[in-house]
Formats: sequence, structure tokens, C-alpha cells
Amino acid sequence: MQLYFRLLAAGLRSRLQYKFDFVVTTVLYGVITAVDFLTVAAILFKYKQVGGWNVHEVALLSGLASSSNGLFRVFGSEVTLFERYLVTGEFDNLLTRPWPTLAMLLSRNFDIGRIGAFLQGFVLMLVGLRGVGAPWWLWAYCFAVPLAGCLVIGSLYLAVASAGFWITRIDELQTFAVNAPMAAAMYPQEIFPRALRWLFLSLLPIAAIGYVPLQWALGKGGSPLGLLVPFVAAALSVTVTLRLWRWGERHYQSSGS
Amino acid sequence: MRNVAYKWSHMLNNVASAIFGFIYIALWQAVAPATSATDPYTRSTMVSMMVLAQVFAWVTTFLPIGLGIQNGIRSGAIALEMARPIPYFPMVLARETGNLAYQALYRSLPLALLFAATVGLPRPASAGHLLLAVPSLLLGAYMGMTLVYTVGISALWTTEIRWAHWTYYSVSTLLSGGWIPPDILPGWLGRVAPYLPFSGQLFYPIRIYLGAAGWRELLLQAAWAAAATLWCHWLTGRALRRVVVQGG
Repeated sequence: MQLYFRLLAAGLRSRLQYKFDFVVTTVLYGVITAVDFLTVAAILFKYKQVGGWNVHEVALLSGLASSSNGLFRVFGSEVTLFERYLVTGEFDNLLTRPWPTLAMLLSRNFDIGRIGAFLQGFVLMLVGLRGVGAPWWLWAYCFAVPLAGCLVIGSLYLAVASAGFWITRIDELQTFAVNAPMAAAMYPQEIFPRALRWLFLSLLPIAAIGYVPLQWALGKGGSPLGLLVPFVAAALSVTVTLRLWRWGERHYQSSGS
Repeated sequence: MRNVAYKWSHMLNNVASAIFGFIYIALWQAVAPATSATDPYTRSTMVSMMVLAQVFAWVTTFLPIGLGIQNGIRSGAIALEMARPIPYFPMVLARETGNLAYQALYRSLPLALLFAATVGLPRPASAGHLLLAVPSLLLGAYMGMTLVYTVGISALWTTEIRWAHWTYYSVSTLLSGGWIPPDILPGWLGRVAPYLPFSGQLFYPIRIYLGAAGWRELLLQAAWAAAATLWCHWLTGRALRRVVVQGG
């Protein structure tokens, strides 16, 4: 971990050498993710509620999902681009180093500009918390959830990257396993058919990030144990996908040069 | 041909695309009124629109980043492409048309079959509307190509087009009418959006197919296509003067 943080600090310093690029990138990421929420907001502006959730409640839900995703993309952007490593054989370089490949991969690119997407989600979350008149404990709780959410989403990306050790081409799988569920994470799960709800609560557990705890916290059913779900899901998914990564790594065959 | 090698990978993406479709279908089923005398976007209409949006988007909206122009700029290959006796803009369009034909066959068609087997594929309002929907869809594809061409060729000024692409993609998602009808957007945006070129990508082809639009909308698409052609030719002329081959 010490090595990881040292590499991370070096990456951050190099990124901040280009201050103008950093500012523009951060602002643009924030604006682009905000435009994504505009579609949801425009629908709620007209129809007032979706599945019994009003605009503030949906903002809170979306804010938790966006900030979690933004946070992971700051630290794990290379995992999301792992297909390139497999197709070009770049992963061979990581295997020749005397450090764990995943730590090397994660420390290769610290995409600080993605902090804009995180901030957009975070601001959305604050707007939602204020709009629903959240008690103090819910504010504190929601500040902690993106940390767990970032691990859940990171695990999905890592599971897809691990699949690449067998199938090489994984960009399309990423669309299926991460992008589509992330779109669903912005809405209350009760609007989805049973099969999708099951998928988003089990194999692709994005509902664990915001929906399950908020369902109880906002008085829409569920159980107080739901508050533990993001953290349990994070621990479980990280454990499983780390094993999958190590298993896949042993099956890696270089694409050659 | 280069796409055919990855057809199974693309089939997986089709499943993802269908899931996106089911998500938006579920969303509209939750909010849109079952029937309404005043709201044209009832539940069944919106389900039809979402299905058609997923099917049509693969030929009008989901195009490769910058049509790959930026790669030629980075590698220097653009100098050779521009030196050819064929004008650059039509050449890129011709190349992309092949890609769109592939997407129609391996993306749109399987998706249409998948939706037909699940939520049902909407039928055209009439034979006349189906006949009108074909040129409307082709104009939508053309409009998509010219918009993405603009993003791609901008690499001659900026080298990096990632931002231009994501900005285009986000704006197009909001305004093309595939996921939300542009005329229900709030305030002035809702009044202006139906007349922007993005509406021609999905909103009008879908509305014409469903019988809710006709010649007037098709003419608007044709006018935007003509304007986009002039714009792309002018931009290409300017770009020719900017070509700097990178590397050595």
C-alpha cells in the first residue's frame, strides 16, 4: 500500500503540472455528467415522481451513484481501459515488475480530472439531502456511502477486466456489466421488472449502493439493516473479484508482438 | 469487414443495449399516463418510442468516436487520404456507410428481433408512413455522420477530441429525442430543441414511423442535412490548410 500511495502521489504531481488542463477537464467532466442527470430531471419536472420517488429523492439516489462512479474513475481509470493492455500485450510489462500487477495498474494513471464527475454527484447528493430534509445522521451516512459505492463499482470493472484474461475483448462486456447497471442505479428499483431487479441486487449489485439503504432511510419500506448493505456488498464484491483477478492472471496468455 | 471479426462481442453489446432499452421502457411505464386526451406521450407511445430508439440509434447516433478521423491525424495517414483524387469528406462518409450497414445488420436487426420477442416491435402507422420513415432514417444517419465528422475533423485544431466527443454524445442523448421527447424539455429548451439538428437523428424518424409526424418534419431534416453538407465542405477546406503530419 505504501508503494501504491507513493506512485499515486507521483501521478498526482505530474497531472497538476498542467493546471489549465486540470481545471478544464474537471469542469467538463462535471458538466457532462450533469447533462446526463438533466434527462432524469426533465422527466421529473413534467411528471413529478417516478415509482413514488420525487425529484429530491431521485437526486439523492443519482448523486450517490454518480459520486461513487466518479470516485472510482479517479483512482481506477486504467482498469476501465484494460482491454488495451490485453490487445497490445502491454500487460506483459506489468508482469515483469516485482510488484503486484493490480497495484501497478491502479497507480499508472491517476485521472484527477474525473474529480469533476465525483463533485457533480456529490453536489447532487447534497441537493437531494437538503430537499428531503434529511436528519443529521443521514447526512453523515451519505458522506460515507460513496467510499463503499466506489468499491462496488470498482469490483464490477475489475470483474470485467479479469474476464479479459480469457476473452481479451472486454469493452462490450463492460457496457453490459457496468454502464447499463449504472444507468439503472439512478432510478428507484421498483420500476424495473423482477428479473432486472434481481440482477441489480445480486450479480451486478448497483442497487446496494443507494437504493437499498435509501429505501429504508426515506421511509419507503425495507429494513434498517439495509444501511449496512453498501458496506457488506463492497466487502463481498472486492473479495470475490480480487480472487477472480488472481485466478485470471494465471490464465493470461500474451498476445505477442 | 473489420467489424465482422468481432460480431460475437457485438452481440453481447446488443444485450447491453437491450437492457438500456428495458431500463428506459420501465422508466416511462412508471411515469407516463396510460391514456390522455392532452398528452401525446402515453405509456404505449413511449414504450414504442424507446424500442425504436434503441433499434434506430445504431445507425444514427452510436457512431465511432470522430469517425476515426483523429487516428489518421495522429498517425499522419490523413496527409495521404487528403492527397487522394477523391474529396476527403465524401470518402469518410463512404467508409462510414459501410460501418453503418454492418451496424444495421448486426446491431439493429438482432435488437429488433429481441424486442419483438419480448415487449413487441411497434408497427408503422401505415405503409405511407413506413415509406416516409426510410428517407427520414437515412437523413438521421447522415445527420449523425456530419455531426461526428465535425467532432473528428476538429482534431486538426485540438489533436485531442475526447472532450468534443463526450460533449456531443451528452448533448445528443438529451436532445435527439431517443430517450426523452425534446418538446417536453422544460422552458425555452423544449421550444427550441425540436428544431435543432439532433431531433433529426431519432425523434423525427421515430415519430414519422409511428404516424405522429410527416412531410414537414422530413423537410426540416432535409434542410438541416443540406446545411450540414455545406458546413462539412467548408470545414474540410479549412482543415486542408491545417494538416501538419506528426512524427517523423
